[in-house]
Amino acid sequence: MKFKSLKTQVLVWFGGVTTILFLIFNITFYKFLEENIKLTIQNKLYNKSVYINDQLKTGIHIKDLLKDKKVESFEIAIVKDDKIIFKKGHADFPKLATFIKDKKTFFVFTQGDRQNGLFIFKIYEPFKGAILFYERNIDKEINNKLREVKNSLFVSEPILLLFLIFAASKLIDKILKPIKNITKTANAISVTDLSRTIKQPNSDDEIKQLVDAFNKMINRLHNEVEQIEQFNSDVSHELKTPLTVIKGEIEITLNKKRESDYYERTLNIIDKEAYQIQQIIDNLLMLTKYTKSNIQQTFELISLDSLLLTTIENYNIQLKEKGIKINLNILESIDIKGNQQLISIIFSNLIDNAIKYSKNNKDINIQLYKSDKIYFIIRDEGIGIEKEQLSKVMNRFYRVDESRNKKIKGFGLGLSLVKNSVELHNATIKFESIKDEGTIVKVIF
Amino acid sequence: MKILIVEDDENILSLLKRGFQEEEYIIDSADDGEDAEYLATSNSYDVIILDWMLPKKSGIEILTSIRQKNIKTPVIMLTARTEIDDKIKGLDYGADDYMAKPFSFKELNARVKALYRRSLSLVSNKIDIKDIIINIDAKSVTKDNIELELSQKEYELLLFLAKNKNKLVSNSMIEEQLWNNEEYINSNVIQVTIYNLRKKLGKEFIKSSRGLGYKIEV
Repeated sequence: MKFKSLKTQVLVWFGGVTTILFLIFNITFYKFLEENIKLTIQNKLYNKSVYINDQLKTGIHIKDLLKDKKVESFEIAIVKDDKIIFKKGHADFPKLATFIKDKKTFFVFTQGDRQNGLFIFKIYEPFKGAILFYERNIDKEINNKLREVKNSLFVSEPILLLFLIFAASKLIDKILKPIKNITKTANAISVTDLSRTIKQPNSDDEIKQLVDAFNKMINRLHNEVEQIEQFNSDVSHELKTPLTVIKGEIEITLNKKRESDYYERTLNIIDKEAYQIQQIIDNLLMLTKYTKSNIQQTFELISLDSLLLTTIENYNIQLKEKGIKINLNILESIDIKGNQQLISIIFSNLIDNAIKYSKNNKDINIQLYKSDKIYFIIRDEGIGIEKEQLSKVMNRFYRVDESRNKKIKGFGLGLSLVKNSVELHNATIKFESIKDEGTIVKVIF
Repeated sequence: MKILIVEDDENILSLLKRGFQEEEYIIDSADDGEDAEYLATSNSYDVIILDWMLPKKSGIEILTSIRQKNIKTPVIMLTARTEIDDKIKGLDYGADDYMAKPFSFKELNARVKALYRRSLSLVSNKIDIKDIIINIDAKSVTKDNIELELSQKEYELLLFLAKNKNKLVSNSMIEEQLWNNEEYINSNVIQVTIYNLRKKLGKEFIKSSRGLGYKIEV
């Protein structure tokens, strides 16, 4: 049979084991008691036999001896040649022959529902034979006691057992209560409602640890889900803006007949906005394209310095427009195994940011060198990032200005692409920034 | 009708301005929260189109601020947010309507008109004054069932006076209502417009009290 509830399982095991233990205890205790009683009877009978022996030695006739008060209460039989030649009282000795042949002088036999002891006192001279005797009622008290113990054990133990099971059941309930709470909370939790936590128990035990672990897990899930929700909301925002422009331009253009210039202008706007949408989607796909397990296959030997120089060249127009100068303070020739596309993403996004957030006619300083590790350091004299925002800049779609100020172009995906690329190369990235003074970004391969 | 458009995306702002200009609305625009708040509190508009996420001050902050100053201009919120909670939040803070991006310009325009009508406490889209009927949706004016040819400014001025009938409307009020922030106004231009309107509607239709302003008496 299978028990579904943990409580039933524990109770069945506990009850079973306790019952067996009780039984073993009872049997042992009863045997021990029985032995003890036998010994007591044997002692008593032995003392009598000593008395009888002493009396016989004084030469008293056996018939007179039997009238002695001390022996009066005895059931006695005198045996000669295996036959009872004298009998006193109700003495009824089963298996007489066996007793006599045996060398033992003390036997226990069952008489009715009682245990009784029989002493055999063998006489060799001048009378060859034996005196068998036991004392009537000698055992009565002891037998009663035995029965009492037996009875009380068989009555009290089931009661004790029931009590133990009841107590165990209460204890299990107490232990299981927080677990039931956990189950209840777990059932109530869904992706849309991760704000719940389980109430801490007052104790400081394994249950508390479980509740702690569970709450921490909910918390982690909560954060993850929030990030995903934020990401979804950001993606939809970023995609909806160009879509709004496309939809609106088409509607307004179609509102009435226009000059051909107007149609051309509208189509150009739509083209630009469609390109934006494509960029966002490409970047999003790039974020999920490579994983730690498939990136290794794309690794090749790359010359970091020449890749950096090529990247800087791509920004010549923007640099000229803003009058920004890039100083290559250190540029060592370094080869590295990596994914060219991703490393190029790191360089171009960091340079792009440095240019975008710099005021006109400022300098950007770049260092690329190898000491214990490979360092790429880019320092700008731009607007800087506030302390509390430093940790968030690499989140997808995060832009320091919540409104996504369109005066500085971008989707806020650049740095999360950088972060992703850095992680895929087992490299690290560090930001140091002072508001209004500039930002230093270090990538360490 | 004079509207304020607040939108930080230059492409969306540009298309909204063009679209509403073709509807012959008078338009002011702002692309950040602070400018928007300044314009909304210092000028009077018939409708404000307000984006949710803006640099410097959010749409909700602007909304809260103008409602606190007891400005009851109808506000239609424009946003990429589509969560029900966001809609409720916007309406709770005193927005009159809500449009999610990407929206249809025609629908936005229809809602702007509806809000405008509601703000005039009009059930229909017509205003009757004496023998003159102004059709707000069609932007047409008839006198004795004959349609009159009015310029945009003439129409707007007539509508403004009609909305404030029996009240004196000053030159500066007219100037603020009929021209946007960036337009240069010749001091004569209001006088000329009034003159032209009187010619078309009848001399006694618009009363003037010298130096103070104009009114339509019913």
